Amino acid sequence: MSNQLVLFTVIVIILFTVLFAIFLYLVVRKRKDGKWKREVETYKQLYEPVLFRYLAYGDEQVPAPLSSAQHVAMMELLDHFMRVLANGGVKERATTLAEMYFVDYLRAQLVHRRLGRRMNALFFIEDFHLRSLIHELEAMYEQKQLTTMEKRQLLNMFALFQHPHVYEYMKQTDESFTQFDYRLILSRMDDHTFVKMVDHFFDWNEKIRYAIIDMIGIMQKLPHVSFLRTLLRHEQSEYRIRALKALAEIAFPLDSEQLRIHLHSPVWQERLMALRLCARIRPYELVETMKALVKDRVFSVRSQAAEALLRMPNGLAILEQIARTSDDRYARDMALEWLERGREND
Amino acid sequence: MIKLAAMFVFFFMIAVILFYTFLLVVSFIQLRRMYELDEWEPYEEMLDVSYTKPVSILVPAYNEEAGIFATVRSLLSIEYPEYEIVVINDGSTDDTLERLKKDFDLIPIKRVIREQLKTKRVRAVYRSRKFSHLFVIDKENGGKADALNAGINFSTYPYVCSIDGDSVIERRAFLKVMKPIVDSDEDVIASGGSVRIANGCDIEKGEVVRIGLSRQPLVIMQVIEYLRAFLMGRIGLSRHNLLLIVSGAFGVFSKQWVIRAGGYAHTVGEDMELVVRLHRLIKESKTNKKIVYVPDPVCWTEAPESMTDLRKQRRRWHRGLFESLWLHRRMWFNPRYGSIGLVSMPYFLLIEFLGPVVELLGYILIIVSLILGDIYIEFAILLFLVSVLYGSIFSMAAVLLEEWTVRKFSSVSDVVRLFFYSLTETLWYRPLTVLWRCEGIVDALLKRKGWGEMKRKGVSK
Repeated sequence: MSNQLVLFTVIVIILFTVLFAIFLYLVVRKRKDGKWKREVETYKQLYEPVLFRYLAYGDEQVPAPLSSAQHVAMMELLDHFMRVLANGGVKERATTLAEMYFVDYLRAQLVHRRLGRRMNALFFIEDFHLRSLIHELEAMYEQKQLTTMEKRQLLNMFALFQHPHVYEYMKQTDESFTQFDYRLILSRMDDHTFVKMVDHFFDWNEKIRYAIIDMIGIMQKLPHVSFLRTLLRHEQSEYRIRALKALAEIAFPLDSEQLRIHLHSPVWQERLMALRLCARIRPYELVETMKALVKDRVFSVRSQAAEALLRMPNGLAILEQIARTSDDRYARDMALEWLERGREND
Repeated sequence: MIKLAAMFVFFFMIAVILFYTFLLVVSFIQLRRMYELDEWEPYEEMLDVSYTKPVSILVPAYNEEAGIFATVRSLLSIEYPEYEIVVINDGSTDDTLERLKKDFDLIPIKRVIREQLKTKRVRAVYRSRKFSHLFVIDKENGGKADALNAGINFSTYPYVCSIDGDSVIERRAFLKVMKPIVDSDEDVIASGGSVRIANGCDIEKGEVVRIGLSRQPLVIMQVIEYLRAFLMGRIGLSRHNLLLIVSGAFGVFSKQWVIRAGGYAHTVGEDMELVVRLHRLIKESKTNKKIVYVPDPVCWTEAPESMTDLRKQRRRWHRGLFESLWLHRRMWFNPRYGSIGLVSMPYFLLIEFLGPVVELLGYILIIVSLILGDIYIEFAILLFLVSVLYGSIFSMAAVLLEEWTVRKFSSVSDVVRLFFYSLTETLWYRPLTVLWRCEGIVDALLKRKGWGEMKRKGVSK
């Protein structure tokens, strides 16, 4: 028992000592940090007018930052001005300045042992379009111990810089990439690369395929409408649903006979998306079909059908009629709700 | 006899200490990796509507005429591309509804409510004329869970979040909490944010403008406790999908999954119970869904400042923990539920729920040994040392972990105070909470119901 006690006392004392040592280190660091932050603030105040005149009018010489506090102060200011003064000239001048003064600093940050620092450098390079660091980014991408977070960000940047191999890089992505990641990458591609992505649609994995369809809609890429229309004949409902959703976003006037097929689909999501397109393009020939769908067994389909009817030129009248005469209680309720919403907006 | 009991307490605590050490290491690595990462850049992309999922924010209100305006007001100014606020007036007997009607210019509307969860009758639905995304449901009293379920039935968006009466949500809270959901293509079905104590901070118009530390020892100890629970416990558990509590005050859930799980249940800790049920559903339907926790502090809540209120709160929490565990006792040590059945449930049962009993036994043994004197003094010292390790040392480590990674406190003196207070934990605060939690166990066993709500001063200026 005594031995145990001694051992335990020693352990507790050691732990206390270690914790106290860490505590002292952290307190000292916090003090230093406070001082450093004040230094950065002082520089920021100093640089602000100079930097503003340079960015807004381009008629000022900005002194090169020497210390790391000066670097950080200038980078934070640039970042701030980029957000508030976003126009072409400002962006261009900010990039010039960043290319001139920050490239070496960022290069060192890219190989920092801490992920947070490396990510911040990547974000900065992206925000300021610093193409001159592209070789460093390529080298970084080849590293084995790269985290998924960095990989995603790097691919975003390759897409943004229209890197010639972005297409090949996309092929090497692994399971950890999500549709959301792919959407972000696709959103940065220029038309030329995007066309290439669509041309090889069926070579990609499912996540990329879905992301491509979604992005055509979100970014209103009209040249790819014909491609979406071919997908409407695909045997898998997921493709048809997403294509309809993208067409609805573009508000493409799909012909009524084609649309009718989807309104009668056994898959409720397909009916829903077809109705969403109806709400955008108001196909007069389909009013009767839409009226029938206000009685659909799926709640969201009923609701979307009522909305699509409301959008018709005589929408209020149609809904009033349903609310008065329909033999389906749910349909009447839904019509009443949308009538009210329609009147509120008048 | 005393020796046997002392050895039991000793080895129990050593086992727990080892588990805590594991959690501490996991959290440290996790937090340190993200150290110094820009606060804003990772979320910028999420402001675009086309990428982000809309959220329905549910605010259950029962007799909250004093605080409801501030809560809703702060929610109206959050940074998120698409959301609606649904206040559910759960048959308040005060002027909550009148106050809302007047402050936000409410008009009655007609809405088809899809009753996916059974609730008490909804009397009327209102919409604000000033803010088109603010709705108020007036229903018959049915308790908090019932109010939340009514909110879920009414809500139009695929994600729901419930917010307690008097907490302050940071403007970017939703971006931060929704990020894992969006990032994972919705493989994450529930995501919780870290909760911190607002007492001592300056809050203006529903926003924390300066993070400070209260002067009250009782509040400081609670701050330390929260740091310990959130930074150490939940990050460690979340990393391995073992999380059982999303958060007492702030969590976003996939509506579809909540409905599949049957909605909120009438228990004391409805949040935790729901999370356990979701885990159960995930395992039973053999899917790969996850429940995660975001370490960023996104929600500030008012902590009780008096012993009486704190005692009530802890008794209630412990009873809630028991109800959730008891309701799902089939999952205990059940390999069918994988790591949740074999690690999480036993952890919450043995360490969180029964731990206080062992600790109390430890304290009693220390006193008895001291009285008996002689060779028993050694037991007393040994047990005291192990309790110091169990209580103070981990709390000190949690404070240091905060300062090493998240660094929310700006002043050096706050950190110094936190550190020295954590040192004293074993001597007074820990025994008190242990006692209160044991009272909670007694309440649970006696099925004692009813609890006084704490008196709120309101945190917002």
